[in-house]
Amino acid sequence: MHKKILSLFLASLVGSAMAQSKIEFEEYDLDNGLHVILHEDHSTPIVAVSVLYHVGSKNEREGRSGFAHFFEHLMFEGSPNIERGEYMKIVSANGGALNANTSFDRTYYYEILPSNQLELGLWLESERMLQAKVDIEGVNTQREVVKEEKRLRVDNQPYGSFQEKMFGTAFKGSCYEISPIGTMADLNAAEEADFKDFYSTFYVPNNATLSIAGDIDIKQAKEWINQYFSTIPKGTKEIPRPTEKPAPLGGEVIDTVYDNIQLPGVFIGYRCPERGTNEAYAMDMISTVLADGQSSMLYKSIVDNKQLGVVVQAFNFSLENASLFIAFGLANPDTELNDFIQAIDDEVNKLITDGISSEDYTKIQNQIENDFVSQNGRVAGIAESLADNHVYLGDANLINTEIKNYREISAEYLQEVAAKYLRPENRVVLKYLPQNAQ
Amino acid sequence: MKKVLASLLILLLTVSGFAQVDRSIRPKPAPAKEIDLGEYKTYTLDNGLKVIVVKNDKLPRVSFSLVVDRDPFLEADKTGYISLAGSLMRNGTNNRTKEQLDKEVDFIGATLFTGATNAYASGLSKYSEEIISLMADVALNPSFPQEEFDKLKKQSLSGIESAKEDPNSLSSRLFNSSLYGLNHPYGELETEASINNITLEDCQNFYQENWNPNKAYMVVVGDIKPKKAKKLIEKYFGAWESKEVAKREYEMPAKPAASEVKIINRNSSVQSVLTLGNTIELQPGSPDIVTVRLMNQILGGGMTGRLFQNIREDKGYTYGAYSNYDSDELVGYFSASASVRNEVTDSAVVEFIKEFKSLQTEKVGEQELQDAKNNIIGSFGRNLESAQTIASFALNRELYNLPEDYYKTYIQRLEAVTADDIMAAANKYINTDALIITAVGKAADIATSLEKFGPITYYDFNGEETGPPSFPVPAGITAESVINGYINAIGGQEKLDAVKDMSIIMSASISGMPMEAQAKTLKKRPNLFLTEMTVAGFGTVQKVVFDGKKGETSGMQGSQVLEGEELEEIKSQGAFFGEAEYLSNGYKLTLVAINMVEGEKAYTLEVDKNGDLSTEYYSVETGLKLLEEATVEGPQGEITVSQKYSDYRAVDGVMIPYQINISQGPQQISMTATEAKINSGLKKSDFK
Repeated sequence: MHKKILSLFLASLVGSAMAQSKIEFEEYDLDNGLHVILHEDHSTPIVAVSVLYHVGSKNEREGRSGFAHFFEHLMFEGSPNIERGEYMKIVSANGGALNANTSFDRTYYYEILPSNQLELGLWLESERMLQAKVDIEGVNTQREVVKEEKRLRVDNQPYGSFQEKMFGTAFKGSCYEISPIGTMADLNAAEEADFKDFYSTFYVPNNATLSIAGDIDIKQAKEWINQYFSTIPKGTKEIPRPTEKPAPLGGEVIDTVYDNIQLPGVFIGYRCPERGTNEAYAMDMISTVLADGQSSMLYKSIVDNKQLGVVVQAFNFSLENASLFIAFGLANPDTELNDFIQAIDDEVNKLITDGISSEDYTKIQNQIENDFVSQNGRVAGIAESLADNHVYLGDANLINTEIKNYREISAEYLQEVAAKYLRPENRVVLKYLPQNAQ
Repeated sequence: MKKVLASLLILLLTVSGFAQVDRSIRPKPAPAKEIDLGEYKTYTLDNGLKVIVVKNDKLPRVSFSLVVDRDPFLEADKTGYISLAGSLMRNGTNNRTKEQLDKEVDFIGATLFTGATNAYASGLSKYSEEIISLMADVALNPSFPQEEFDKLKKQSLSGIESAKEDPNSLSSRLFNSSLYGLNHPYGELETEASINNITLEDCQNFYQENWNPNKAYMVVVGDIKPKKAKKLIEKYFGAWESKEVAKREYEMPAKPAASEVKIINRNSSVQSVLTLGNTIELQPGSPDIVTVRLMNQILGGGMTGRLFQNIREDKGYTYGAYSNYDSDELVGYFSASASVRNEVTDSAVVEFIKEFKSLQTEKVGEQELQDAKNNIIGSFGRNLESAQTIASFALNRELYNLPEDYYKTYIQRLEAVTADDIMAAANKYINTDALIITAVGKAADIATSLEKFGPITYYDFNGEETGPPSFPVPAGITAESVINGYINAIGGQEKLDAVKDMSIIMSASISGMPMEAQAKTLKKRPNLFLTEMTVAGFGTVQKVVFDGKKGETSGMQGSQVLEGEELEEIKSQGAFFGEAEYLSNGYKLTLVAINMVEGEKAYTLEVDKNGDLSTEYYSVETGLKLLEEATVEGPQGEITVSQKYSDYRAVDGVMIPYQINISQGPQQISMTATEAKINSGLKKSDFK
């Protein structure tokens, strides 16, 4: 009872803060199925124009891993009206910035432009959606570029193989088994027919969300959106969308990787429920109590008290069909890695057995509030959050209200969820040891 | 009817409205809006602390950033201690233990950290006072607890360990230490030894001597009224006492006269982290700044820079290639870098240099120049979305004494830059012929091809020069296969067997001797041998002959008949292509490793002939012998004698080295063949 009052008190405290940063927006669908979200904010004369395609590595077919991401690179090659290599130059020469990224669940493109260039941004994105053009020279060059990206991020980096090993093991046999970067063999195998098919299946308005935030006039923006996007035909193919939840792990998996590293490291991944569930919100909060700040359980025990290592972190990697709660750390050179793992387990078990104090509960609510109010500082971030919330959770307004979902999680529920998921038989433990320890 | 017509008309209008979008025409911009530089308030406390406040209530947050201005600091054999001192401040005060600090900071969801001469705290604005009081406590009352010091030291050592395998850390260490030198504040490196040298007292002293409000700035940004900020800062920082801080000056780091290649070998690398650059003298506020920024934008400022467009978008060598520069009161830098796969490492360097040169010799086109200006103006506008940018402009004006309207006129100054200015800046700030080129990568794959850019030296993690690294010999390669490879490389056994005699005349220059010498060597089967050295004006200075039976030396020191061991030595020198005999009895061969010889990978073979040891190096690529080394007993003790072979040319199908460089102790002899003949019909009488 006492706890409830405290959290009610907190909720009222933060109410005022939220009103201050409320994100107003409009959303609607075009006839071809394109979902549009508009947020007007005149504080800086810039605008973020973004398109989210609901396709990620989880939609790839077998033998074509890495394709969604590879395809993202090709989407800068141009169109009948934009010559090869001009896409980036047009944006840059008009004072804008652009980029794109591909995850397990989606591919996201954006331009941040001076606000008087909104029409240009719409034209560029509509060309990409309507008639992207890819020639073989572009394919071959970008194939090399993507392979360099893999070398840069994975093959040449200490612990760089962690993601592909962790997801490969924790989600074996499911749509999350292979990471977005893919494999070199599959990247080499991609053919022209694959591109045509992928484009006509996934890059259609009924699989896209156009999210715009910044210094816009809503009426004018709608007119232009109509002009540039409403003539794009709706996709006719069925969109393959794996929805089945990955099968349970079925027992603890422990693996050792010998890498070119100096400090032993450990990555522990617990299989958890998908984004947007109460259990996923609880896991976010558990990551906060375990590892956010130097007073957190793991940092205090492992870095400060036992001095077993230099880094310990935990986060809930939320995906559309499942999540992976990952705790990881780097040990000191003379630390026995098993002692490090034991110290993590001790804290996790403490959380499961003793729960958290009301003081700690208030603390994590404050930490989450701080993160929540900080995330909407830039129009580019707002455009992305609106699109993500719409696509994954069917409610763009979560940008304003999601914090309520955290507030409603009680300390007892946290303990319950920790006990349910942070179990050895539900996890993968990857030990990283220096090559010379082999 | 009228109604129907009207609605039809509307329909037509709307439809044609769509149809009228001509997609082949790029939309024109609406009129540009003015960029608002924002506002800030500034005032100075009695103790000298300058306060800058930028109010922005978009988010209910506030940040406090304290910067103590100081000259760069040379830490020498204790490198790492000032940042350790800074971190330590956050870990205990006279009022709070680290645990208490952690708890209080986290409880309000705030952030607090300290560096050598800076501190930063941020959080929800409703906790402004809690946040600044915590910050003031660590900034003004640090207690420097021994236990926390030991902990941080241990963490620093672990940090150093982890950097040893991180290619990007290795690259920045190598580039900085190469550019500025190990004895410069910007070039010195944290090492295990330097961290171990640090004492708690060093940290305390550093704090005492350098934290001073008189040269400090407090920058407040966020949802806070300037009046309230002022009140809080006066309350928590008003009593901070000012003092004198010593000035520090440094010499400019030396620039190389020509380009140099520096490598850290990392055998597991599948990419080379390449950086090319030089130091520059470019002060903040210099009129050249906007020109250099534009030049850099055109060259490698982003995705549309020439480096990215060429090396990534055209060649596919890398995920990203960029250039960079830094203006600095002491010494700045220009650099360009990319991570590229091993096999195109040298090609990437070629492209970098090509782009530098093109900027230096060809005017940029007007369109390209205007596009780059637009890009910078755009990013200027984008950055102003963050109130932190407004604050950093204000801070820079203070730190570098920039004119009042420095940022207001920035775009105007940028627009005035011409193509000629860009070319002049490229020539002034890029030393294309005297670059430091650093590579962290697999030397076995990349070193040979980098030699063309300048002499190669190798470094370890601590910035100390090492010799060329060695690499393991791949499975399947043996001493025997190396020797057979050599025989094949110089022509094959059959060709060698067909050689009945040979004569080579070489001109020799000897270190310390002004005049040219000439060396003639004759051989005839089975083992007739003659070598004669003549010097113009002196005649024959040395001659060694073996006529098949007896051996003799003659020359300036008189004549002598050779006997015993010396005779045997001469006999063996007369052997044709003696390496073929290595595989027969009497030799013990050990294939040790692959080493670099003059940037070329070579198999290192130890040859033991009845106790006479020598080391020979055979090119991995061509199979040819590159070098022979032996240690011999000289009059002044042991010296190393080496012979380098190069410029192999085919003579009647047999490869002969036209260039031989001999080094014996201090003496260097360079020999260049002027004539080489095979089977010219030498007679026995020629060996006298």
